[in-house]
Amino acid sequence: MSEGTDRRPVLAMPDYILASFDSSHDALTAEQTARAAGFRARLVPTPERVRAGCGLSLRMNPEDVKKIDAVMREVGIEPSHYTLMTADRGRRVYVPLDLSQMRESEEDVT
Amino acid sequence: MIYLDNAATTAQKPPEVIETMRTFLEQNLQGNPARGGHAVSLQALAAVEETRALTARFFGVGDARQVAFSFNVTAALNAVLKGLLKPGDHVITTCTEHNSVLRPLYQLEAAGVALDIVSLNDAGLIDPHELAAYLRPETTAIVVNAASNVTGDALDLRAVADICHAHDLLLIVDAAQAAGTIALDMSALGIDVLCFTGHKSLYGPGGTGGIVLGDDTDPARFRPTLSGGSGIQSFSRVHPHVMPTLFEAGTQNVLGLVGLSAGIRYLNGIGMARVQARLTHLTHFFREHIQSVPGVTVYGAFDRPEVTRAPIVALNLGAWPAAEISDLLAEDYDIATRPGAHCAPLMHEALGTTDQGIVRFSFSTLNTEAELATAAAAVRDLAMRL
Repeated sequence: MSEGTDRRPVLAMPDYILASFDSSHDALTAEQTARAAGFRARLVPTPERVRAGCGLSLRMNPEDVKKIDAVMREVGIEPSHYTLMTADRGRRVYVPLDLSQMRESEEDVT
Repeated sequence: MIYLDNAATTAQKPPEVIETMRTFLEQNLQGNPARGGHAVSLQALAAVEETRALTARFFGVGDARQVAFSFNVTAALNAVLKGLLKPGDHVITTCTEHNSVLRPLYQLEAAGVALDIVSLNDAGLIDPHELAAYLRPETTAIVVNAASNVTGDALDLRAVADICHAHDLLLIVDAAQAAGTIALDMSALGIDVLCFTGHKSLYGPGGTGGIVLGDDTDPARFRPTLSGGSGIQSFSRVHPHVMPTLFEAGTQNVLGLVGLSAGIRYLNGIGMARVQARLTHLTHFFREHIQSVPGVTVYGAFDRPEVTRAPIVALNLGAWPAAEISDLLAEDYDIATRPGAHCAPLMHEALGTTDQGIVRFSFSTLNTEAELATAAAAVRDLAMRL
């Protein structure tokens, strides 16, 4: 037990992005594809407020989202939506990302 | 890993289940039952029928032919509900049901079956007498779970059975969480139809489950929803209307049923009264260890000792998403739990947890107090870090 003086540091809450899918098949393929491409990404339970079809989402660092989105689409996997998971005063905040806008800006860059 | 997701499936199986299945495969005994007179087919048939007899006795049914196997409880419930109910019928169920009950009933409702869903009472429980308030002349059946897969709270099945039998209704029970955790004697409890899965607390492998009709339940009330090879009446154009073939078509999951028989034998070896007492002890042990965790909300009628329960502790920490709590428990503490909606949408609406979900800890006979103490310490530690 960690009560008393042995308290661990307060949980760091870095921002991350969840890619959500319509099926578990797509979620697993997405994880395998992203990892094969060298990205740090993993499947996590989908929070209820994300309202995705699939109970598993792909968690990734915000800086990787456009690249992972591109490699997923190369193998025909299209997330139903992306959510930025951030925090405000110790509470989780969900920010839906606009996919088309994100991809347009990606195309501008490339 | 400390595995506390046994309500989803018991990932740890008793050694005798593993050994029995291994031996069955190694000895090349997996013939196709009822499809030949040679030794391998007959041995497979004997294995399936032995499982049938064990299952019947386990649920307090005298005639083993009243047990039909399916591939899980969802398949069993679909076969029973769609084989029984027809347009114009009325059925009553509860908001605590899993989608394995709700979705077939919604399908039937769209086809003309009337459906009423009873809500939780002020104590957060289903009051059997409220079920009676929905009775109509055309009511055919009451469909309930024996224990909620979200909170673990069990229903007073005897009280529901009394209502059913006073009005000539069938009592159909989803025993997904109760089979192997709560002693279920269908004769004593008055259950007409029980649907179970083998891979949870009966300690069998996935792909096993079934339908058990009570000794007095007439199979003629049901239409087969599957048809095909049966090994009997091959020249008939229709699927046989005799138990157990009524609900069975195609080759059985013989290896799975061999594993299921070993799981039931494991429970019989301990005795269901002791199994239930052990699981109840573990559940209260864990609940007592986490109830003082700052910000914890525990769901379920733990303050009512008269409520029997499946071995589940459902909780949340503050307003934190259950999905993230479960993920942190897995990533930082190597503890497996199940977050989310648990395929029970109406129960989460009733509990006010549709946006947050719930983290479910669920136990098996193979869990230890030491594991649960470690898990409780992890919950406390996590609560302090949030």
